[in-house]
Amino acid sequence: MPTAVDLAGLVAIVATTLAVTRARVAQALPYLGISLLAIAAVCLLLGAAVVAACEAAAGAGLIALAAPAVRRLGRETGAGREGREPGRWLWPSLLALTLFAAIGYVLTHEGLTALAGSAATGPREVALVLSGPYLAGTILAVMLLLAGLLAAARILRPPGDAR
Amino acid sequence: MTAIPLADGLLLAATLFVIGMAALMARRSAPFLVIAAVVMLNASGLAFVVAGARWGQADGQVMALFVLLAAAAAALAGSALARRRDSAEERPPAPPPARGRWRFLRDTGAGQVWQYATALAAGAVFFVVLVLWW
Repeated sequence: MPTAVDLAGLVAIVATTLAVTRARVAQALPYLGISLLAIAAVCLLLGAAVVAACEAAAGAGLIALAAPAVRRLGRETGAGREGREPGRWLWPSLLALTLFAAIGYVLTHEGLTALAGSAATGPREVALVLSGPYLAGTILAVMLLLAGLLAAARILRPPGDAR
Repeated sequence: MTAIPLADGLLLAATLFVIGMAALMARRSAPFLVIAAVVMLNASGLAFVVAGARWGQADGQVMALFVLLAAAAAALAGSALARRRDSAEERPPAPPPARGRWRFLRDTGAGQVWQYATALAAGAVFFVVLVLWW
């Protein structure tokens, strides 16, 4: 069982290193998404399902954001047809397949409950704690996210827009 | 059965944090600074998850969720700042293109090789201090 976690951790390290050393953002985004997914896998194997779900949502969003950017990059550089050359997605796909294999092995052979055992803290406990002692923190965190969203909208506003 | 020792998870979190820190010190372009900050915040969230799983408490996951939300807010505002098109007069002049083998790390020409060496050395020192202290 530690092998699956170790594999996911290794994927996280490799993907993060590749993401950080790319020349352009469009090349880095797929690796960053894979890195987030790998961290999500580690969290899932550690029994933290809620955090894993949030990380996976962020990673999937990043990959969805990366797809048009990569295609645009391929069109700009004129490499291949509409950026469809397989090399750009090859390594992210291999890393994602490794992750998939690790999680699939654990799910089919041992099951998540066998892995984390009594240490697993389910969504129910997390939700109870979030809405109990940490209620103020939850509200503040959500308001912070809203503030970030509003700041992004305010910054990206077109120049002539006087709203 | 707790199959995953605390040490391995914390080591993974520290490694990811050091990668992010080295990138934060070495890269020059704004989007990569945002990426590095997101990597570091995720690493600290992972440390909370590992600690929470070790003692079977939900508080670690709650803290990791807060860190994730802060990272998402920072990434939103940061990427918006990085994508902003300034007007021509307030835009700084374009730096000369980088040359050499490691030019992909140099982005805008402002970085030097010694900066990367310093960043990696600082990361290594941080890592050693972390491991020794722990």
